[in-house]
Amino acid sequence: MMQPALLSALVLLFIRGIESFETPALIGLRARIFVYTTEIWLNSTRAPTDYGLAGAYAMVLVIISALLILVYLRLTADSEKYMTITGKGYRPRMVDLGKWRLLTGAASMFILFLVFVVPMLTIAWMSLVPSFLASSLEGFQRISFKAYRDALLFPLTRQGIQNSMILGIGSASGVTLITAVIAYIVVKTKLRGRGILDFLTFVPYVVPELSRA
Amino acid sequence: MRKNFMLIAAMGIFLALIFTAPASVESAAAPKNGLVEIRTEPCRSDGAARQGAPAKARRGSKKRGGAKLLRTDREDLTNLRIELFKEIHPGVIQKVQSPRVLPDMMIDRLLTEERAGKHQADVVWLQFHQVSALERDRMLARYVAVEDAALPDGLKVPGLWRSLGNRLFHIMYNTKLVAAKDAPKSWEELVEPKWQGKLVLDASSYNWFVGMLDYMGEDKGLEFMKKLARNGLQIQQRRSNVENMVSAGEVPVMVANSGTSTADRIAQGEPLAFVKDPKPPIAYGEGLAIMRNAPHPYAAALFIETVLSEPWQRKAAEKIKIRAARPGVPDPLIDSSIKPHFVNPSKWPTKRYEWASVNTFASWCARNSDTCFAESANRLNQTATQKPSATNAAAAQIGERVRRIVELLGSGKTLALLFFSALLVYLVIVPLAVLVFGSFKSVAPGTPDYFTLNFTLENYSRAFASRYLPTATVNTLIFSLGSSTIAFVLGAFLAWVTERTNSPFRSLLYVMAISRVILPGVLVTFSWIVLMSPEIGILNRLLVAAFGLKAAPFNVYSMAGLIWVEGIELTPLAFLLMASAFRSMDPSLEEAAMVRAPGRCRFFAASLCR
Repeated sequence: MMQPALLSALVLLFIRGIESFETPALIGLRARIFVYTTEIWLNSTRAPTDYGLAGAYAMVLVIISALLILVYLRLTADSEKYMTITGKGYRPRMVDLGKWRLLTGAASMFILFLVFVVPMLTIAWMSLVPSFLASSLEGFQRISFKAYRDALLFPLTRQGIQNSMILGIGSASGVTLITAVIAYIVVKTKLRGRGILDFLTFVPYVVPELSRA
Repeated sequence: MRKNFMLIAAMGIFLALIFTAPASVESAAAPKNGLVEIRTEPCRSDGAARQGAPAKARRGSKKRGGAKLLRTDREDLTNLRIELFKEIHPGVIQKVQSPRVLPDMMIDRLLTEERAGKHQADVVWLQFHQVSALERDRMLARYVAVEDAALPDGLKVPGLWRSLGNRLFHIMYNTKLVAAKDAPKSWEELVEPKWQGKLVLDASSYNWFVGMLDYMGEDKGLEFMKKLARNGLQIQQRRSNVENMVSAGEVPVMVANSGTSTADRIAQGEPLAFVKDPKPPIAYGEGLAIMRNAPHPYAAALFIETVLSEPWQRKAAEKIKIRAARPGVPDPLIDSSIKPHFVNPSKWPTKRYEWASVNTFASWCARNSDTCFAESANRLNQTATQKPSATNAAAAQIGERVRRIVELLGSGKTLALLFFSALLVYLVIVPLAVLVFGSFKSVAPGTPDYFTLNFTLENYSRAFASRYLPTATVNTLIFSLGSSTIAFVLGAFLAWVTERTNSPFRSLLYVMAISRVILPGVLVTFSWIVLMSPEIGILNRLLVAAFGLKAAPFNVYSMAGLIWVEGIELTPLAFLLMASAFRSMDPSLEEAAMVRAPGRCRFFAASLCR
C-alpha cells in the first residue's frame, strides 16, 4: 500500500542526487571524482559565460530527470487506486513496540545525531576557533566570538540579511499563493487539462538549478 | 498535535526559502550587493577629445555626474584606494561596483550592458585577461595617459590600459610543517622529490603560470610545469580556501601566492611564513582602463592620472602596503631592490589570455595537474569563439504575450486554469525553452542572428567531445544511487518510527529534521570535511589517538565520502517526504473525498473535519 509513495520519494531523492552540486564541488573536485554537475560547471564557465555549451550539457540532465519525473507522476497517479480501499476513516495503526522501543529510540537518536547534531556542533566549533586550529586541542584556548563580531560589523552583512528577508518573504508568499491555487484546481475541480498543470509544476524539478542561474 | 506539526513545517519551509533563495539569485543578478554609493560633484563630459583630459577635468563643468568604477578585487583594498583618491578629489567618484561573486561575472555584466546599449561604467579595474576580453569586443577607449610613460613595460599597453600596482609572487608555507631553513628559495626547488605531494596551487594562478612561461620560454616553462605536476601538485579553487588549507596544515606549501594576505594572516597569529622573493621574481599587474562609451570620460581620466601620479603611489604604498607600479616608490613589505619580471601583455596577445579565465584553467587543473598544464598551453593557441550572455528580455516578452492571450480567453474557472497554466508556462517553460533554444545557437542573444532559424549542433558536439563525459556519467549514477539509498533507508526508518510506532523522542525528530532543512547544505558538507579530512579531520585525529591507528580511518575525499555526505544531507528531506506518506497516503485526496460527501463526515471524529 505504501509502495508508490515510498518509491516516488526514492525517485525524488535520486533526482536530487543527480542535480546536487555543492557536495560534488567541495569534495569531488579535490578527490578528482567528477559527476555531471561539476562537469557542466568546469566545461562551460568562463568569461564570457558559454551559455550554449551549458545549455547542451543541461539538456542531458533535463532529459534524464524528465523521464524520472514521469515515473514519479505515474507512481503517484496509481496511488489513487490504493486510496479508495483505505477510505477516509483510515487512521494509521500505531505499533506497540514494547521493549523494542528502547532500541528504535536509540537508533533514531543516533541517526539524528549524525544528521543534525554533528554538523551543528562542528559548525559551532568552527565559528569559535581560528580555522587553522580547528582540529587541535589548542583550539580550546583560542575560543572567541571574533568571527561573529566580524560578521556583524561587515557592512555588507546587514544589506545581505535585508535582501534575504525581502526575497525570502516575497518568494515564499508568492509561491505559496500560486501553488495553493494550482493545488486547488488540480485536486478540487474536474476541469479538463488540469493534469497539464500538475505536470508543469514538476518541470522546475527537472531543470537543474545550476543551469537556471 | 498535528496542527502544531503543520505550523512548524510551514515555518520551516518558509525559513528554508529565506535562507536558501539568495544563493541562486545572487549569481543571476549580482548588482546591488556590492554597491557603494558616493555623492558626486559636477564634472565635465562634453565628448571632446579625450587626450590630455586631466587639466580640463579639474576645471569641472555644469553637467552633474562623476566617474563610476567597476572592478573586482578584494573589496577592502579597493575601498582603501578609493578613499585615498577621494582625499585628493572629493566627490568625483559616484559609484564603485564590485560584485562579490566570481570575478569573471563582471565581464558578463559589462558585455550584457554593452549589447543592451546601457553605458554606465566609466572605468574598469580588472585582471589583465579580463580587460583584454573587453578590448577584443572593442569596448575600451583609446586613452594615452600622461603618466603612462613612467610605468615599466610589463605594466601597461600604451593607449589602452595600465596597472596601478604590482604583485610579486611568493611561496607560502606552514611553519609547523616546514622549517624556515628548509623552505624553497626558488621555484625550481619545488620539483625536488622532497616536496612530493606537499604542494598546492590556487587554480586562478594563471598570472604566475604565464609569468613563468614568459620568463623561461614556452617550452622550458611547460616542461617545468609538468615536472611540478608530477611532483604531486594539487590544484584547488579559491585563494582564501587554499590559504586556509595551508594554515590548517592540510598541505604544507602554497606554491604561488601574492598580495598582502599572507602578511595579514601572520599578523593574526597563524602558523605561516613566506619566501618573499623566490627566484626568479615573477610579478603581475592589473588592467585599469576607460570604457569606450564612458558617460564621464574626463572624470575617468582624472581618476587614472591621479592614481598613477607619484604622490598618490607613494601614499598608497605607505598606507595600503601595496607594491607601486611606478619604479622608485619604496616597497612597503619586500625589498625594493628586487626587480621583478613582468609579463609583457603585448607578447601575449589578446586571444592568449582567453585560457586564463579562472575556470578554464581550473577545469583542466581540477582533473589532473599534468594534463592541466598541457591543455592550458594548447588553449593558448586557440581562438575561442565568442560566447553570448543570455538575456531573458525577449523570452519575457513572449511570456507576456502568451499571458495576455490567456487572459482574453474564457472566464471563471477555465480562465483561472488557463491563467495559471500560462503563469507556469511563463515561469517554467520559458526558461526551459530559452535553454533548449540557446543550446542550438552558436551566436550571442542580442546579436541579429539569434532569432533566425540558423540552428547548429555545435554545442552538442563540443559537449560530447569531452572525453571525461563517460566517467562523469558512471560517477553520477553511483553517486546518486548511493546517496539516495542512504537517505531513503535512514529517512524511511525515521518516518516509520515517528508515524507508526510508540518509540520515544518522536516529536524531537520533526523539530530537528526541519531545522536541518533550514540549514544550507554547504555547511553540512563543510562540517563533514572538517571531521573526516585525512589530514586535519577531527574525527580521524580522535580515532588515531584513541586506538593508536597508523593512518586516518576515514577519507572524505573519496566516492564513499561523497555518497555519505550527500546521503546524510538528503536524509531530513527523505524523512519529511516519507513521514507524510506514512501518516496518510494522500491527505489531499482524503479531504477531497470529504468535501464530496459532507454528510458522512459527521459520522467521524469532529477533529478530522475541522
